[in-house]
Order: sequence, then structure tokens, then C-alpha cells
Amino acid sequence: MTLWRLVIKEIAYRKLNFALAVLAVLVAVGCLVAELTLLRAHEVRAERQSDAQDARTRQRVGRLADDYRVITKQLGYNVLILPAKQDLGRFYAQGYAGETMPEEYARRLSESPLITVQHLLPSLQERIEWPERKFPIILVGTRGEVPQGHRNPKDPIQPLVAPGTMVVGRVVAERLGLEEGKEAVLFGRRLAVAKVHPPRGNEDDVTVWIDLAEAQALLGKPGRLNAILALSCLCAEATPEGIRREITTALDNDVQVLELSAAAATRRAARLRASVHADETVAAQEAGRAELRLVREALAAWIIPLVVIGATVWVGALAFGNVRDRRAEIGILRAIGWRARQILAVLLAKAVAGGLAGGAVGYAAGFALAAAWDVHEAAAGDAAGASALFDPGLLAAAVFLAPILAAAASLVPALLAARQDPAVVLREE
Amino acid sequence: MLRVENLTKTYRGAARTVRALDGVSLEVAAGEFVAVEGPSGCGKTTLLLAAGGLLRPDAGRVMLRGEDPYALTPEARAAWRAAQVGFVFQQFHLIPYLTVLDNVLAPSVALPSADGDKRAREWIGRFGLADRADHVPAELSTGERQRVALARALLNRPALLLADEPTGNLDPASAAVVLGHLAEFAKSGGAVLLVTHDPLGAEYAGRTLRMAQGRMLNDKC
Repeated sequence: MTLWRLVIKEIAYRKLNFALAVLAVLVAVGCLVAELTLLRAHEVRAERQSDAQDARTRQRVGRLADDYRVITKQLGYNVLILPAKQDLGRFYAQGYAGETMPEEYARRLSESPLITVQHLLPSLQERIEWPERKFPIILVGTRGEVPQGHRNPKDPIQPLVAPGTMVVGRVVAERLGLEEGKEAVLFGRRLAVAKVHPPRGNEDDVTVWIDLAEAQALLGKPGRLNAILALSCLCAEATPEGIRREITTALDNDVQVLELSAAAATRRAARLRASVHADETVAAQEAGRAELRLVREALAAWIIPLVVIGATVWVGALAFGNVRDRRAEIGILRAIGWRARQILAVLLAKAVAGGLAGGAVGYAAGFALAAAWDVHEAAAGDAAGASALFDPGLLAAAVFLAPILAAAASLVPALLAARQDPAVVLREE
Repeated sequence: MLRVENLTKTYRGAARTVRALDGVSLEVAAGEFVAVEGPSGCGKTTLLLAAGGLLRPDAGRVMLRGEDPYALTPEARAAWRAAQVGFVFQQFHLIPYLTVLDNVLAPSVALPSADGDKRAREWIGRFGLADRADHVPAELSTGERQRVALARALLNRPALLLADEPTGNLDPASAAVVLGHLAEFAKSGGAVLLVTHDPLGAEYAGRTLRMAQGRMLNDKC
């Protein structure tokens, strides 16, 4: 005969009382575990969704930044390299440089380790009258080049004009009856019309583009250029001043560099804005998630104490009932020599057993409920999953704290029972 | 063995005050079986509880084998009861969910011993309950229940056996069996103090005392 044997036999004898106590702990632990597990499930899913959303946002913003880059490519970091001797007043009045510089400059730039220039378009341009047609045009000889240090699979952004062909502006084509595929003679040389540009509303409409070498030959300026267009610096840190310094240094200060527009700054600002937009979007999502978690935690902060108090009262009331039912039994045990602490141990051991059973079953029930709810609540395939929800710390806390809670709830009735006067009980019985 | 000197005990209730013991004295020697008779409410049970170290008297003294249980701490007094005193009550007070064997063994929790189980089975056998060892009280007759209670009281080999109307719920045959066991315990050297209404009790007792209104009236012998 041991205390535990008595406890077990009594539990078996008063099954309903024990079952109700277990149920109280089970409900309390189940509610807590379900609540905390659901919070965890929400967190896991929110984290996953947030990660996915972050990735999508970053992807979208990346595309946006790329769009900005593409949109502003025609504008960004375009500089015009002119001969150093070129008078800018004449240049602006005439629309092109009258002075020339060696074509070798383009090669030198293309082979220099400049980090800021992606595309170089050397050109020789002159306003002339088409001798065979007696029609004023702007003749542009051009070819695209990519600097050696930045060579990539991309084609030059300005399509090349193949030797023996020409590209003509809309007005020239209309006035001279030129069509794609037809041939025309320019300075005695037969050239095929490769393309007719749509109307642009500027001097391009009266421009004829031919291969640079042919233009140099036709204009009697072999190996000469009057401009190099440097396009598309993709380096965000590059500044117009930096580009200007790099180019003039590379070409022995024999050139002057004009920034064609302030679009570089616009472009950089646009990309920066896209990046800031991404950061703000992600931060807003994280703030929203944190706020939602705070709301849930606040709710749990109310529910958890309420459930604990409710269960404690419930277990305490059951313990009082049990002690009252066992009054005579406790009286006789005291009479035959059981110490008060042995009576206390018997009563608390029962509470601990109830707490242990309620804690374990409550954890399982709460976890299963939360996992099922998670599956029900989550979108298809988005449930957090049992393995992600399982928290060994919570299981340990449930199994460890529930018996303590049950024992604490039973302590007062157990103390009263242990201290009751057996003589009073035996006289009354 | 047992000496009770001038015991006084008064119950003070809201409605009235009852003087249950009013200077009661008695002695029970080892091997003696003493019965105390008296009407209900005369203080018999109070005397028994006081003698057994369960109810501290207002005045007077209880000595068992030269030891005053009320000079002990509550915990030490509980141990003293486990070792020195056996109780038998009219209502048996068996633990309903324990078997006969476990009920008899209940005092061994208070006073553990290596041969507790063996002694319990011996008492069960001696009282004719061997085939009932695994039964719970609800499956026993009243006579069997009282024999279980008696076996429980005797498990720790007490010096004093206190019996409060042990035959009150028994048929004459069962009562005779129980009283016979009490007498046998006394013959073996124990002291028995029996309080009873049952005239049969007096037939088994070596000495019978009468109480009325908290006082010991006479010694009938």
C-alpha cells in the first residue's frame, strides 16, 4: 500500500470527478495551445506570404527600374564629343560641327578602360545639297561601336547602316520618291534605300544616313569625324563631370564634351525612386504584419489569463467537492495515524495527475485543432504545416505547467482537508 | 497501560454549551477489556477520542504507557496513534475504493514496516476473510466489514484498542464474533476500551463502567 496506489484507486473510483478536472485542464491547455499555435501558424504563413510578396515586389520594382532604364536610355548620359577647336556658337547655329577630329579617337575610346561609356557612335555630318537631285539634305556617315571594356552581347543601340545602303528621313523620301528597296545615286555612287524613317518632326526628316567610310569618301574627309556620340552610361555612380573628365583625358584634351541633356540625373533619380519605392513597400508590409501580430498578441493577452483563471476556479471547485466527499475517509486516515502532509500529498498528487493528463491531452487537442483550423483557413497549399507549427517548448510548458496549475488550484481545499480535525469528523459521522 | 485522569471537555456551540466530560478518570491495564456503557450523548465517544489522542481535553491528562499524547506535536501525535492505538467504529469507516487487503494495509502508510503485507494477510486470514482479500467493502457483509476494520486497527500491533459501538450495526452472531476478537486481543496482552449500548459487550468485557452526563458513575465489574 502506497500513497500513489491510493491515489490511483481513488481516481478509478471517482472517475467523473477526475474526468471533469482533466477536462478543465484540457480545455484550458487546449485553448492556450490552439491560440498560441494559431498565432504561430499565422506568423509562419504571414512570413511566407511576406517573403513571397517581398520577392514579387522586388521583382516588380526590378522590372520598373529596368523600364525606367529602357525609357530613359535615349536620354541618359548621352554626351557629344566634339573637336576641341569647334566653336560652340557655330555648332549650335549650324546644327553640327564644322571642325573635324581623327577617327582614331573613336577607336581609342573604344579600347580605353573607361568604365562609364557603353556605346560610341562616331559620325561625320554635313549639310549638303544632293547633287544628283538638287535637294538639300543632312548627310550623316555613322557606325556604332562598343567600348572594349564593356562589350556585351547587346547590339549597338543605333542600328548600323551597311556599306552600299542608305537610311533616309521621311521628307527626303517623299520629295525624292525614295522607297525601301529602291536605289538612288549619291555623289555618283549607287546606294540601296535600306529604310525610310517615319516622320519625326525634326531635322531627321531631311537626313540621309550612310556608312561612315562612304561618307568620309564622298565628303573628301577620309579618317575624319566631326562628332562622337557617347551613349548609355549604366553606372549609377557616374556623373557627367566624371564622364567628361575621363573622355577628355583619354583623348589628350583635344576634344570638348557636351552633355546633351540633364536626363542622366533624371534617370538616376528614377532608378533611385524605384529602389526607394521597393523599400517603402516592403517596410509598409512589415509594419502591417507587425501591427496585426500586436492585435493578436493583445487578444491572446486577454484570452490566456481568462482561460487560466476559469480553469483554476473549475479545478479548485472540483477539489473542494472531492474533499467534501472524502471527509470521512480523510478523518479515518488521520485517526489511524496518517500525517497531515500525507493527506496533502494524496490530494495534490491527484491534482498533479489530472493536470498531467489534461496538459498532455489538451496539448494534443489544441494542436490538432489549430492545425486543422490552419488548413481550413489557409489558401490551398499555403497551410503552415504540422512540422512548422510544432513547438517543443510549448509542449514542455503545457505538460509541466498544467500539473502545477492544477496543484495550485487544489492547494486550498487540500490544506483545509489536511488540517481538518479528525475528531470532529468521526463524531459527526 | 492507559490512565485517564480528571478529563474535562466542553463543546461550545452557538446555541448551547455541552459538558461532554466532567472529570472522568479511569485506568485500563494491559490485557484488560473494559466496556463503558451509557446513554447517547453521555460522553462515551468523547472519552474514546480523547483517550486515543484525537481530541484534546480541556483539562485532565491521558497517559498511555507513560506517555502523554497531547504533549506531542500534531505530527508526532499522529505517529503515536499509528503505533499505539487502534480504532474501530460503528460505521466501519473503510475506504470504499480499496480492497480488503489495502484497507487493512492503510495504517502501514503511517507506520511503514517490511512485513506489513504479510501481517495484513495474517489478520485477514485469522478473521476468516482470506477469500475476500481482493473485494471492496461494498461487496462485503456488515460483519465482514467490521472484521476488516478490526484487522486494520490491529495491523500495527497497537497497545490500546478503542472500539466505539463496534457491534451497533451487526447482527448478534457477527457482533459475537467481533467481540470475541476484541477479547482475544485483550488476552494477548493488549488493552481494550469499548464504549457500547450493546449488553452483549459487557458479557465479553472484564470490567464495565457506566457513564452519564459526562461523568463516570460506577464500576460494575
